[in-house]
Parts: sequence; structure tokens; C-alpha cells
Amino acid sequence: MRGSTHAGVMLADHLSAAEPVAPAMRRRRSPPWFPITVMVVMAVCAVFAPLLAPHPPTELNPVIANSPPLHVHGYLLGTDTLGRDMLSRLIYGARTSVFIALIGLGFAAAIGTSIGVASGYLGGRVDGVLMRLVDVTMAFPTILTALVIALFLGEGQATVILAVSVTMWATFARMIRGDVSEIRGRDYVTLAKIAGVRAPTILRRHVIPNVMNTLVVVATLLLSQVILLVASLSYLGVGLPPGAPDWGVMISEGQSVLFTSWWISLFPGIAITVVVLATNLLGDWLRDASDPRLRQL
Amino acid sequence: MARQSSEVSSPMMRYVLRRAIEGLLALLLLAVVVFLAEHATGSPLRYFVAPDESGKDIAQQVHLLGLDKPLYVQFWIFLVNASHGNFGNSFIYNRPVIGMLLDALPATIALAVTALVLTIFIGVPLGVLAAIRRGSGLDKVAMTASILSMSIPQFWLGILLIVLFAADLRWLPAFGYGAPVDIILPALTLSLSILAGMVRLTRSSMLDVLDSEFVNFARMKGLNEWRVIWKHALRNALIPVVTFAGITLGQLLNGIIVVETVFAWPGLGHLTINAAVELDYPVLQGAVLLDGLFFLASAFVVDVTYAWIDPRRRYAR
Repeated sequence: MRGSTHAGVMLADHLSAAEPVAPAMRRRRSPPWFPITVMVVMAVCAVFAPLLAPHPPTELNPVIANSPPLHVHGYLLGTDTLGRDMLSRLIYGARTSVFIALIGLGFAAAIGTSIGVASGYLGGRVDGVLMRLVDVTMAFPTILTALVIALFLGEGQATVILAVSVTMWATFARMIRGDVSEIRGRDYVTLAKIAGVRAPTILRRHVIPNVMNTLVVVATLLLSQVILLVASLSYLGVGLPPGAPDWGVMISEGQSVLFTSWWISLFPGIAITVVVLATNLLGDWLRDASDPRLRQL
Repeated sequence: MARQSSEVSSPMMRYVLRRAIEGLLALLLLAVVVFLAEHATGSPLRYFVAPDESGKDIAQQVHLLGLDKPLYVQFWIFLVNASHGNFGNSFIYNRPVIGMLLDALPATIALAVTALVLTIFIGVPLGVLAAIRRGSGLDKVAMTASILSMSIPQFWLGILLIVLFAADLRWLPAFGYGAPVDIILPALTLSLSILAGMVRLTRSSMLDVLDSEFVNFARMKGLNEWRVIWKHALRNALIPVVTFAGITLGQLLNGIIVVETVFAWPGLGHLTINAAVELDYPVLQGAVLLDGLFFLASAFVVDVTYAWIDPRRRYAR
């Protein structure tokens, strides 16, 4: 039983993309090639951005400002209002997304796992208080949370990373807590306790290795939300500063010249949609392949 | 669990009371954070004094603004003022904040209500159709469309709709507020993102219900299929749909902030973002607190409704 009181959890089952299928009936599915391809391309762009990008992402070239795709040689996807190369900015944008998502989700996972393990292992009143905190955090609108953080730190990478961590840790905590409160009752944990093993050692040897699976699946499922959140914050002007090679910033910069230079907003929008779609599909696949209980998410 | 000697005996009342207290605590926490934000980035004094003012003038300003009082006293004053709807004047527009908030409110309510109505009237029938023709072309299209609409950034979707319907086809206005047609594009953008969840939920809930015995019984009685589906089954399938509001609330408020910014819709979300970008602290404090109040109040209503429908929840910790 999950002690959580949020209405959403009871419904999340219905929202899942997957049909409820009995384990025995689950057929082996082919690997999700589309998401894997997209992820690989993202990773390559992120790591090798300086090698792949034909121009520096912030290099201004006013002479060829606002040129459409395939118009100026060497600028495959055209240029933006300041003559910066669209393709290079898109490639560096992938790097920005990957960087922020990895660090933000990393913090969220660390905080969420600690709290989830504490809550699940200790149980009782600690569990009650922590899970209520999780409910409130999960339900509160992410953009409002991020706005408040931006008030303290101003716009920039630190704000966005903190916003990601603060809004996403709760999901990790809830799922990991569920796992831990079940693992706690297993025979090997009881035996370890009887043998006199101290709690930190039990956690390290017997509990944490068993939640790694959940951790990976939850992180993948949250990835799409993180990418959308980062893009929205940048678009709203409380995320990354103007000029930064970020897809949300690019869409925002293109909006004022939408009717004349449509490509400036179009390409980064396609990039975000494709990547988010891919992470959504990959997350669904991973969840179904690894553990149907996680369908709650 | 130890129950303190409580005057309130019914579990439902106890549940309502506990949720209300939790909501108020959350609001208080938000007030603390919002109050501190103004102090976090430096003394608020810098917004009120010119750099060349003399020490005596500054001291006078400090006293006038109450900045010489301890922080907790300042917070108390802020809280008392806020509870009377007094957030001071906007730094930028030099108007009372409360007036700006009240001016923005109708636009946001109109947008949210229109979007919700759209979502329910498109989402529920589509979900039911997808469920009764499970595996059909329609089902597949609906499911594909819903995962796609979960993946498109809302602000970009808004921009695409502007390009398509306002610039290319010239059917609808892109920006504007006043004429009834002005609301179509923002409301559509807002509703499309929630629609995906609504369709999926109705479909899955409907599939469960269609499997149940009372539906079979209704069929055996010889009721026609139309009545079985749209009356007997749907009525039961809608129970989880009602509570769907609970999950969507946060998402809806996120959406309102984004969509109002895309369409320059003069509502609360737009006001909040503008204040954040212009560092207009009084407006921002008022707007964030009002957003939070709305959110927590609706979450409260949803939770209580849910406990009323499902008695098990009243006893949940």
C-alpha cells in the first residue's frame, strides 16, 4: 500500500500509454529504434558540438541576417535576425538541453532517492510528513516554482538547473519510497538485521542496489518533462538569457519575426517535439520492459 | 495512530479540516518565500533611493519603508497588508497592485473556463469512441494524436496555430482581447495539451467499465447499445475523469502562464511573467500569491470532492 494521498496516483494507471497486460502475456517487443536513434543523435551533438557546428553559435553576421534555409552557402538552415547560423545554434542547443537535463535530473535523483529511502525505510511519522511534502511539490505548478527561484537567482543556468531539481525530486522520492517500503520487508533484509548488520550497511548493500532499476526508468520518464520545462522557462524569459544557444530562447527570438522569417521558430520547435516524443516513447518502453508496477507514473 | 481528543467526530469533517490546514500552511510558506525574494537580492531600499541621496535622506526612507524594523516584524506587516489585498504600488506602473490583479482576473477565468469546456466536450466523446472501437483506425489516430500533443511544447503549438489560422488562412485573430473570436486560438492551445490526458483517461476508464458485469447485465436486459454505452457505462467511467481535474490543475496553471504570454492575453499569467521579467516586486508578490491561492483552493475543492465520492480517502493518512 502506498501511503500517499494524492488523487493523481490512483488515476495515473489510466493515463499510461500502455494497456494493462498480464505479465505472462507480455510479448517481447523489438527495441524502440526511433527513440534510440534520436537519443544517439542528441548525445553526439551534445558531445561534439564544437566539431559538428559549421559556425560558432553566437557569431554575428548582420550582412546575411534573416536568410532563409538553403539560401546562403554554408548556412544550411538559414540564419536568425542577427545573422547567426541556425544549424550551429540548434546543435549547441542540444548540448544545452543535455547538460541542464543531466545535472538537474542528477540532483533531483540524488535528493529524491535519499528522501525516498529514508521515508520508505523509516516509515511512521517521518514517512507521513515526507510524503505530504512530496504531494505538495508534485502538485504545485512547476513554472510558478521556477519563477520564484528565478526571483532569488535571476535568469541563467543555475536557476534552470535548480528549478529542474526542485520540481522533479518528488517523483523520484515517491517511486523509490514505494520500492523501499516493500524491500524492507523482504527476508534478506530481516536476516541481515538479525545478523546484526547496521542500518547504513543494509541500505548500501541490500536496499539501494534494488532501487537502481526504478531510478533509471523514472529518470527517463521525467526527461521529456524536463526538456519541456527548460524550453518553456527560456521562452518565458525566466530561464536562459537571450542569445544563449537554447531551443526555447530561439523560438522566443523568432516569434517577433514569425510572419517573415518562419524558420527561426520552426526548426527549434521541431527539435524539441522530436526529442520529447522520443523520450516519451523510450520511457514507456523501458517501463513496460522492466517493471509494470511503474505504470503508476 | 494516536487520535488526539478531537471535537470533530466525523471522518469527513476531520479530513476537510486537515486538508484546509495543510492548504493554509502551504500558502503561508509561499508568502514567506515571496516576501524573502525581495530581500534576497539586496535591500529593497535600492528601488526607492537615488544613488546620490545623502545619508540623512536615506535614513528617513529606511524609516518610512519600515526597513529598520526586524525582519519578522516586516513580514508580519506584509502578511497583514496582503490579507487585506494591499500589496503596495507597482514599481513600473505606479498603480495599486490589487487593481492590476483584479483587472487581469476576468481574462484568465474566461480563458480557463473556455479551455476546460473545450477539453470536456471534445475529450470525453473522443475517448468513448476510441474505447468502443478499440483497435480501429479512429482509436489509433486518437492515441497517436494524444502522445504527439503531449510532446509538443505548448508555446510552440500556439505559435503554429497563429501562423496557420491567423497569418495563412486569416480566419481568426492572432492577438486581441474583447471580441468573442479572440479567445478561440488561446483556448484551443490551452485545451489541446490537456485534451491528450482526457482522451486517454476516458478511453481507459471506459474500457474497464465496459468489461464489468453491470454493463453485461444491461445488455442482457435488452437495452440498446447506445443507451448502454452513453448512459450506463459512461456515467461510471466518468468518476475517475472528475478527479482528473486534480492532476491537471498544476498543468493548467502552467499552461495558462505560457499561453497568455504567447497570445499577449491580458490575464494573471501574463501579469506574473511581465512582473518577473521587469523585476516589479510588488506586482510579482501579489500575482504569485494570488496564483498560489487559486491553485491551493482548487486543489482543496478537488480533494474534498474526491473524499466525498470515495470514502476510503477520508481515512488515508
